[in-house]
Amino acid sequence: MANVLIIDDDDMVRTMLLRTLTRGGHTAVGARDGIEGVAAFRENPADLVITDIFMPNQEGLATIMELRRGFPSIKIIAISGGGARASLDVLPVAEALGAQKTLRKPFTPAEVMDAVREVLGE
Amino acid sequence: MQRLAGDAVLPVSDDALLVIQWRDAPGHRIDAASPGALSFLGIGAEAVEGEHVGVLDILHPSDRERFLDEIATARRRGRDRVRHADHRVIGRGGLVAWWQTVTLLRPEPGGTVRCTSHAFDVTEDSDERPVPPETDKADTRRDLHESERRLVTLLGNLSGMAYRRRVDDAWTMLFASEGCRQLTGYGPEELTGGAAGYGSLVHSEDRARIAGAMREAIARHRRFTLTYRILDRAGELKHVWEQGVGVPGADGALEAVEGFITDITGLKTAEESLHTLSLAVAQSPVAVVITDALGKTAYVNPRFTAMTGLDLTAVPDLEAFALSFTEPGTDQFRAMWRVLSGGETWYGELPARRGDGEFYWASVTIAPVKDALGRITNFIGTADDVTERRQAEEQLRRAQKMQAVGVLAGGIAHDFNNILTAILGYSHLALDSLPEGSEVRDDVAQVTIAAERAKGLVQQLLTFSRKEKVGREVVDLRAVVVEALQLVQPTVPLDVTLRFLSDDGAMMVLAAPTQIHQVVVNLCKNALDAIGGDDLRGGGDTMGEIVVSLSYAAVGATKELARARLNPGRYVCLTVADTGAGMDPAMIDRIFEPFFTTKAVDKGTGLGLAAVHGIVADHGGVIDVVSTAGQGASFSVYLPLHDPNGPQRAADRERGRILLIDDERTMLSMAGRLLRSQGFQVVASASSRRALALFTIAPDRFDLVVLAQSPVAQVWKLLTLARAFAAAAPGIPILVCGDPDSDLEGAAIEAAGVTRILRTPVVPDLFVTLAGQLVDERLAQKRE
Repeated sequence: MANVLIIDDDDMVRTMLLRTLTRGGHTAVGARDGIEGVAAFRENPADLVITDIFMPNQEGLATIMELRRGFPSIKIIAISGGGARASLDVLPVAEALGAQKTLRKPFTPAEVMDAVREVLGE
Repeated sequence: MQRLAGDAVLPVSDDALLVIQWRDAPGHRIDAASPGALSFLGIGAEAVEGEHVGVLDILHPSDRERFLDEIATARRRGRDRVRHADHRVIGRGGLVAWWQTVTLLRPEPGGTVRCTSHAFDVTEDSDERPVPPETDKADTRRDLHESERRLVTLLGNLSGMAYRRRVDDAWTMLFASEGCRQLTGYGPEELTGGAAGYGSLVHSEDRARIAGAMREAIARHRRFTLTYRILDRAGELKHVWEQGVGVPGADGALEAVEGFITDITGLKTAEESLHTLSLAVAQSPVAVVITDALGKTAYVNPRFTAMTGLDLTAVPDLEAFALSFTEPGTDQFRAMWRVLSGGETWYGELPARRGDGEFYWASVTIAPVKDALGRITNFIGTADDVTERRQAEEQLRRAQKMQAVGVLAGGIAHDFNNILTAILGYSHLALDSLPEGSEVRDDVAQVTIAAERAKGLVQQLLTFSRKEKVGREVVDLRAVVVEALQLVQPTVPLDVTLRFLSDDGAMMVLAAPTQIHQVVVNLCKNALDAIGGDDLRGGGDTMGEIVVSLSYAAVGATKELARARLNPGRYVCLTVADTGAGMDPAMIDRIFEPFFTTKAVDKGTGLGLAAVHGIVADHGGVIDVVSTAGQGASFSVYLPLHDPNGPQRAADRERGRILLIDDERTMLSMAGRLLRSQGFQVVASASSRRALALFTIAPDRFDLVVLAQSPVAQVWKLLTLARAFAAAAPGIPILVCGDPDSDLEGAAIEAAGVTRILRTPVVPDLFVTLAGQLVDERLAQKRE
């Protein structure tokens, strides 16, 4: 079982992910943006970070870079449903910046659990 | 007193001088006369000798008294001559002439006076001049002068030349009216005095023709009418009109020609320009029909016949003209008559059908032609085939619609996907907690199905909003299509066959495999729906078939397909043909429109084919459709074959090249990847010195410079760098990504030549949008 940090500004999505992982037997905590997420990680490093990309204050790509710089062995899953301003597919960029896996919203709990298992190497 | 025979004829050689000798004594007997006078009077010398003729016999009754009074007055005053006022005489056959007479008086022994009257005939047009009605003497004189004055004025005012001329080669004028100055540049005295012969003015090419025509008319005692050219005194070419008649002399032989000549150069020019104009109408690429005021057709040009297949007899009136483009009952047809009956011009674009049944768009104008009083004299109808323009407009409209859908999709996708994630997630979580076979579990399962459908819709929508060329690689199209068909196969019903045919050899294309999957899946789904929707299939005894094929297509010159145009080049053609319901032309026109669907609400999103169209266009390809209602449909996608040695595609080059500089490397890799993912070419450098050197060598290679400022860098350092780039090439935009704490505002920025500033931390989509905008502006500027 793993400690998972979930960073997403959308309350419904974040809560849904927390429940999915908790029911899957993991320990999960949430953060509402990149700044909160990085702070939470520094305080209590998780085994896996699931982060959204488009968020206020600090978005996901910067967050991935910052976490990867500070913790090179970190495991990250990037999730996104597209940007509001530009029609932009950022998930390949996230992958290039160091996310092991990406998931396109919307996804099902089963798909999330599959990805978690894959990234954790279980 | 006896006289010798012959004494009665006075030896006067000039026939024009009329001399009469008589005696002012009772009877006023004529003793002798000149040959001209005798000829005029129609009397022989023997009649004179026989003393049968008196002066009173030849004087007009109204003028006798005055004539004798003038003699009496002169005798009383002892004068030896009388200048008579013009008077009339009666000649041969009762002909009346006007004479101007001077009489010499010589007293004789015995108190008698011998008179010798010398007269000139001053009658103009002597053989046609009507005898004036008998009036009071004074009135007659006044009327006569008045009519002469009028005649002279009239002739002088004529725009043209009245003449009397000899019948000779030089056309020697005996009389020419004032108008000859305007016509020829010569005055009457020059034309009559022999200084200028009118005949020499006639254009040499026309001389023989008009001489022949005149001879013939004169021989037949007919009037002649001619048009020919003359060169006037200034050498200017003029077109003239002449009408004339031969005038016989006393002996009946041709003596002179009289007539009128006028300048018709203006008319000729107008006639020629009218001729040019009518040629232009005849050759016009626009169909032209001209009718009279009642709408009866007078003319149709060849283009009208070519366009409609109708000739003049098939278009008897304006109504038939209108009906060659539209139906009688339509709103436009009624509106047309309302407008025309109001005297206005009507304009409309009508869907029309040619004789061969082919459809086209006609732009039709019917304009009333009015005279100076505003009365309608004609109608002119024009029609032009504007099908191509309409098609171009339609394409533009469709593209705009797709773009709008894309903008909309991009705007809602983010929120919508979050909402769907929650719906899908929670419903699945609930599902897991509910016992198998329970009713609630079934209900929640329906929620997940609905959410999946919504997910599909959003993804289709996003196809329009994604313009980036992510994941495009050189692939073998056959392998990609085979993969896609494996996705399709499970959805094909048992009574439908799915066949795949392919040419041999590698079919390399530059493409995004997932998007090609989408193309194949959507086309096959569309084919399945067409077969399924066909009532003919009914009980399932009729089999449907879908044939997917791949072939090479080499196009030498631009090729017109059924619904598209293929530029020269080498292509792979992917065709999906079905035996389904097929489509009518009106439907084919709309199938690629977003949200257009003929399927039941639960079956189609109306986005499948629109997505296919978008993907194919993004790949630089073309899609064509051939279909007939009831006979299936065939969609062909042409994708350009990848040429490994060829130049990069224009669309890729167009995206522009960006120089990215970040001394501290904080942004370098993320910004570089973001920009490359959008199809930009990126040259990234962590050394500002090296970047500046690279830039200075050939600044025009770059369309944007991005300077990233790390938190530790000082503002002055960044601005110095910006100034160095701006100085090297002033036109190229500079985007600075700076720390919000540093003071980058104000004149310092402007002085450094920075185009825009983006605050750190950089928001990826804003960064990409801004960079794209700056590059596009630069590229547009370069094109100009």
